Amino acid sequence: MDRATERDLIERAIAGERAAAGELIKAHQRSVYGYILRMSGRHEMAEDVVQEAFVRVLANLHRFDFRFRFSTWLFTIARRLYMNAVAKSKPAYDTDFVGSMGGKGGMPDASTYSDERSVTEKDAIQSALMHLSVEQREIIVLFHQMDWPIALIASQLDMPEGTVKSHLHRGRRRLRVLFKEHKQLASVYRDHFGGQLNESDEVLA
Amino acid sequence: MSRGSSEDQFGQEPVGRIPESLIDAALDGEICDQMQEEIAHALRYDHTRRAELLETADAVRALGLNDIPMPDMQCAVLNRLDQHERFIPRTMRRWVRTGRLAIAAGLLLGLMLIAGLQSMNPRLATIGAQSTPVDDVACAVEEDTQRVATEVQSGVGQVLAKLSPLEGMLATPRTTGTKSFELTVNRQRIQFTDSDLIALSESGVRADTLRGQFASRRYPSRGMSMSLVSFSGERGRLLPSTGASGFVILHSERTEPIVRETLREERIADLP
Repeated sequence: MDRATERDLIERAIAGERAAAGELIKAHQRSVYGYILRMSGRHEMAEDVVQEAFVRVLANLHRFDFRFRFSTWLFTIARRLYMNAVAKSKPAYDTDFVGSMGGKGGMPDASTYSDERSVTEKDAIQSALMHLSVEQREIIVLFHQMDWPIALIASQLDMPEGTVKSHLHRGRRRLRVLFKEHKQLASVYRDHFGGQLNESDEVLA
Repeated sequence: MSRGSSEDQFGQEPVGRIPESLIDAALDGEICDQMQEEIAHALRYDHTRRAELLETADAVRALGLNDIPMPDMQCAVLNRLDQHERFIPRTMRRWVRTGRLAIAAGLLLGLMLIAGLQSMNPRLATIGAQSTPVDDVACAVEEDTQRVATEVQSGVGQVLAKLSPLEGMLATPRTTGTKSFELTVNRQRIQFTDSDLIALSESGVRADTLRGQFASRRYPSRGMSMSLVSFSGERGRLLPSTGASGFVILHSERTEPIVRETLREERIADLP
């Protein structure tokens, strides 16, 4: 969506046009939802956070500064809501917590990949992401999934660009290895259990 | 294209291997087209890097948004916004805005009106306890005084009406023109003689007021004779006699030897 279209939609939504607000939601929901889902690994949390973010953004649309992008504003609010949600419901066995305690360079043991999420290729990437540190995961998702430039990521995460690149490069290497292992694990499960496990995995997903 | 170890960032790359930093830069989109072509050419001979790059590309491709199943949140979000009346028709919004302005203006005018009234007449617009001016207190005291005076006058009138049968008895005592004596006598009981009773009767004291046993005795005192009358043996009354001028009744609480005598003008009241 170009900036002119986006501005038009925002102005119409501010004027009270419901359809314009719907268009804004439609245009941005996938990217924000994808970001939160990749970060949390949980559909319910992603849905709740994104809905709340949209409600807050659209309810305060008259405060929007047209010098910035709507997507950036929406992302900032969604990210803050996600951080709050994680802080409220962080379990002791959360992989984020374990990853941060274990250091950013350490590779998880292969046996830890054998959770239910890694049994299909579709979920291998999510499972691999969840084994990265929070910084690596977030930067990889923002760069490769949301196509944000390094400079924007650095400003949004309040990090130097060099630090962002460092996290990106290390995270990408780890992701490559992890994704490969998860895919192999998924193919082993598929060969041994056939479609039964895939069906159950669909339910779990 | 770098093949020497001097350009290897990590210092662990075998000779002929493409540096990982260069691959990273290419993946970051930070190298020019010419350099990209050189890397692509070099990858034909560096199978390890080529395999790694393919695996990385595979992982990055898996991050695509299209693979994510996503619920449509449009309706849910708009419904939640509708609860906050975010999206209502423009005409309605105008009415709502006008109504809010009217309410605000009404409140403002009301406050201004109250402020004006209070400045003109503080008692009119004051809420709660008010201070009482001194003039009001003076008026209230005068009214209360008149009311109490009227009530007292009425009460006195009623009392006088009830006492009207005793009007004659409450008449001003007449003067006797005699001197009275107060003295204490010895404990001697003397019977009144008939002449004493007659003299008592002539003095205006009714004989029926003399109850019980009584006694009298005459004592000479400065040319006057006195009589002592005792009632029920407890109290004594001295009846000094001045000859034919009558009697004066005095009180004596106790009967003791004479200790003093006083002389004063005495009025005698009619006994009931």
